[in-house]
Amino acid sequence: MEPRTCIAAWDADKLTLYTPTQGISNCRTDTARDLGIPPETVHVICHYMGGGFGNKNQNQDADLITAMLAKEAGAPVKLEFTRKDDFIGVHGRWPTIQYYKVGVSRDGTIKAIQLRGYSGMGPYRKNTGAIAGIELYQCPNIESLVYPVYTNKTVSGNFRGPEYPQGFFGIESMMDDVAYKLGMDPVDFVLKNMTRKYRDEMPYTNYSLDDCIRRGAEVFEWKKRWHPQPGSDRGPIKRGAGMAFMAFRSALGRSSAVVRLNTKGQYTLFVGVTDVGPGAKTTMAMIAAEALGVPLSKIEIVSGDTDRCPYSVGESGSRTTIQTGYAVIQAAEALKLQIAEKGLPKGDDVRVGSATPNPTLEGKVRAAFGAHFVEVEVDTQLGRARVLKYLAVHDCGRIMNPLTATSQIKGGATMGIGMALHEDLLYDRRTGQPLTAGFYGARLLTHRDAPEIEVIFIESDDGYGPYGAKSMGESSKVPAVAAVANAVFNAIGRRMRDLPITRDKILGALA
Amino acid sequence: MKTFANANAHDLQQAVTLVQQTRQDGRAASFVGGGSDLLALVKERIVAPDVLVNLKTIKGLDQVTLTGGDATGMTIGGLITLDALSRHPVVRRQYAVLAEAAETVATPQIRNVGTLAGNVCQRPWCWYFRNGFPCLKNGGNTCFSAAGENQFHAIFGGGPSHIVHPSDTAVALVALDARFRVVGPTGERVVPAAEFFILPQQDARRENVLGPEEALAEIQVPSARPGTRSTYHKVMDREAWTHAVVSTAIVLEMDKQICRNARIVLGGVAPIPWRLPHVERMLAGQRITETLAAKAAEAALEGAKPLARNAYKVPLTRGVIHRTLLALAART
Ligand SMILES: Cc1cc2nc3c(=O)[nH]c(=O)nc-3n(C[C@H](O)[C@H](O)[C@H](O)COP(=O)(O)OP(=O)(O)OC[C@H]3O[C@@H](n4cnc5c(N)ncnc54)[C@H](O)[C@@H]3O)c2cc1C
Repeated sequence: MEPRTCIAAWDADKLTLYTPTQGISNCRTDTARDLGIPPETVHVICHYMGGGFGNKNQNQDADLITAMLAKEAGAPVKLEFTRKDDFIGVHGRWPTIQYYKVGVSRDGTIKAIQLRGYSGMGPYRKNTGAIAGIELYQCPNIESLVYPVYTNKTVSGNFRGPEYPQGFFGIESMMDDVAYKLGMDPVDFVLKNMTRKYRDEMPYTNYSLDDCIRRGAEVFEWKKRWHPQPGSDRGPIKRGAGMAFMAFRSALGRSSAVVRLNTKGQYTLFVGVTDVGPGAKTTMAMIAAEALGVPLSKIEIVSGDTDRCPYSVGESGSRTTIQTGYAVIQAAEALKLQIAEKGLPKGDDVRVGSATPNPTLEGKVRAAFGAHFVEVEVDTQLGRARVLKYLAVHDCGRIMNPLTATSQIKGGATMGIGMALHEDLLYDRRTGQPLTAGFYGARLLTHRDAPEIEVIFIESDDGYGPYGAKSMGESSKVPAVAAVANAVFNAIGRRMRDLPITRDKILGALA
Repeated sequence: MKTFANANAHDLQQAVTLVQQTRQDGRAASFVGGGSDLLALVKERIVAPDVLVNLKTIKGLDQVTLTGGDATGMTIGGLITLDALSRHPVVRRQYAVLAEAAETVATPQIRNVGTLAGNVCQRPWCWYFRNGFPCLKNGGNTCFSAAGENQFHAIFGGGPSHIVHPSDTAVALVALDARFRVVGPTGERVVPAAEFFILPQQDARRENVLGPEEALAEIQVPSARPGTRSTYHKVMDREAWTHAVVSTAIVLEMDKQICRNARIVLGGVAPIPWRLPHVERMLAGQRITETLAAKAAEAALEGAKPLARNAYKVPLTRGVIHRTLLALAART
């Protein structure tokens, strides 16, 4: 939510940046590289920030500009984007055009999938422009051709599940269509064809898609809410149900942590994390308390400062808890070992444990799983689609903090509803000027637009990561768009292929 | 953002004189109420006043005065906030359409500062205008929406500019046959609501008859006749904090089941609040049945001229009129 801001100050050759960033270490290396100075001379500080959502992990441009201006001015400089600057000058999700062809046998087994896709990357390349989703289905013949293309629009980059929600919208709309054409219930079709091994080859560290989907269908009362004949409600206000599922990367990797114990029995945890909103500092302290077997109140945390904290992988890719959290456990173990060997610290002494683990998966794939079930009501006279009921079932491994975990799912689902039904950065076709930069114009959801979202966790422990915790933050947005769109189809019997599914498009489709 | 001076006015005459003098000095001046619209336009460099003449410091212009007892009409000071207006007990009871319209505006924060006069006089929210395109409203000579993105633009009364009038309260005020008291440096005049707003054909640069040195002082609403009921229905693309895609203000004078007199005005479809006299005539003296409501809604859209991307407003408006009319007629 917080637009880009930065304060840069030079002290001789040393640069200090106060900036909201999803990764102090990346920010330091990128800025040092771009300025041609050694990384040690850049000090990045981020104690508090107003949200990240991906556009603060790949965008050190503002920091760089501020640093250069401060150098030029010979004085500290503060840069602050307006909301409009932020919409135009910082990347958003890449728009896509997707064409699918699916071959399926009479019994409903998928035989072949072909995707030809185009991703709009803006005027320069910041990301791959990939389109995810095909890997969700078990299929022997897959062809995927994705062309990232330059456009005259705002640059595209990471945004909560960079290549996922739009890709899943494409493929899961397509598969929903296939299920109806076969006369199959989309839930049965998914259960028959969904991935069981990653790309048909690699086993998952644990597998719970069946559970997520079956449990979701039962609690949601799918059979009762879903209409075998789409658009069959009588009267102008029609209901319908839709579902979509997901498997989302949950990789392991390198990060660091340091824990120190003083003679007063106080532990200090040093981690490079910043808190982009999910409560990372609390989670890190909770993990340390668990690993050390002490109450949370005994842990003090120092974070978000490159000169005081060790390396952190960055708060992106849904990996803060799994990667830095794992390092916290290892550092705590190292500290316990020291205490076992040398005893508790005495006098002015301290004991310090540190770790930079880089765990691997030995030929397996780690994924978070989930399924979303949505009921919508479409007013076919006024063209309004409204979510009535929303159920999200997720396997994110071990749930560390139920409160923040539930918020992550609700937040992602809400964003997905926004992407499905509301938000748009519209451009004037002739001049290429953006017309709806800002929360008013882009029609972001308000509290009143956000429905009640029910969350069910299917907890698991695959033996990896910190106590079996898997990725979470991005995954809740991933199936949301497709689930809402499929529900709209079930309600009105018209496949809405263009996001967002707004009033003009609904009334246009029904005209 | 350009810097400007703020001048607190203590009466309306002084305010208009100040604007006049500033202009005579070759500088630009703007009246400002809550500033919720004007300051945004200043920040976006759409307008660049040297002096803001603050009307909120004028005492007594934020009151609702009942003229001669409870039922013979009221005068509403232009500086009343939208929040106060929407909560006023007499307004709620006798002029529900106005209270409801005020209540649907934007957000509580904006209703707390935004004034009725400011709401009526707010500039268009067309994205071309607000993004600084050199359009008719910004002193240029084209309307970019005509061949551009016109999802939210006019289906009635458009050309050469295709904006829609953004004010919710304006729609209600036209439906109430209100009269606007306007004060200028050389005196004052009273303008019927229906004549206050002007089509782009008449002057594409502005939305109403106010000259640059004239202020909207107060709004007079005639008394509600017995059996009057009214309502405002607004269709929005989210639940709050946005202007109407389409709206309607309907005032019915009912005598048991029979509609004696109807006034129907549309918002979000034309550069001015769009009154439908031919539909009103269809309803006068009739019992409002399902069939009549459907016919009225059908007739309401006669002559609509949608642009490339806003044809959906035709069925939408039809649906809104049909439903609102039936619901209001059925109310007991
Ligand atoms: C995000 C957002 C959403 C909005 N949604 C809605 C909505 O749903 N419905 C709606 O109706 N409005 C909406 N608005 C507009 C809002 O209602 C207006 O900004 C507000 O009512 C203006 O009142 P004000 O007193 O703040 O006006 P100001 O900003 O002070 O003035 C607005 C304009 O009127 C002129 N003016 C003010 N007072 C007088 C006067 N007495 N005589 C002559 N000219 C005068 C000013 O010079 C200026 O040009 C929205 C605004 C925002 C920012």
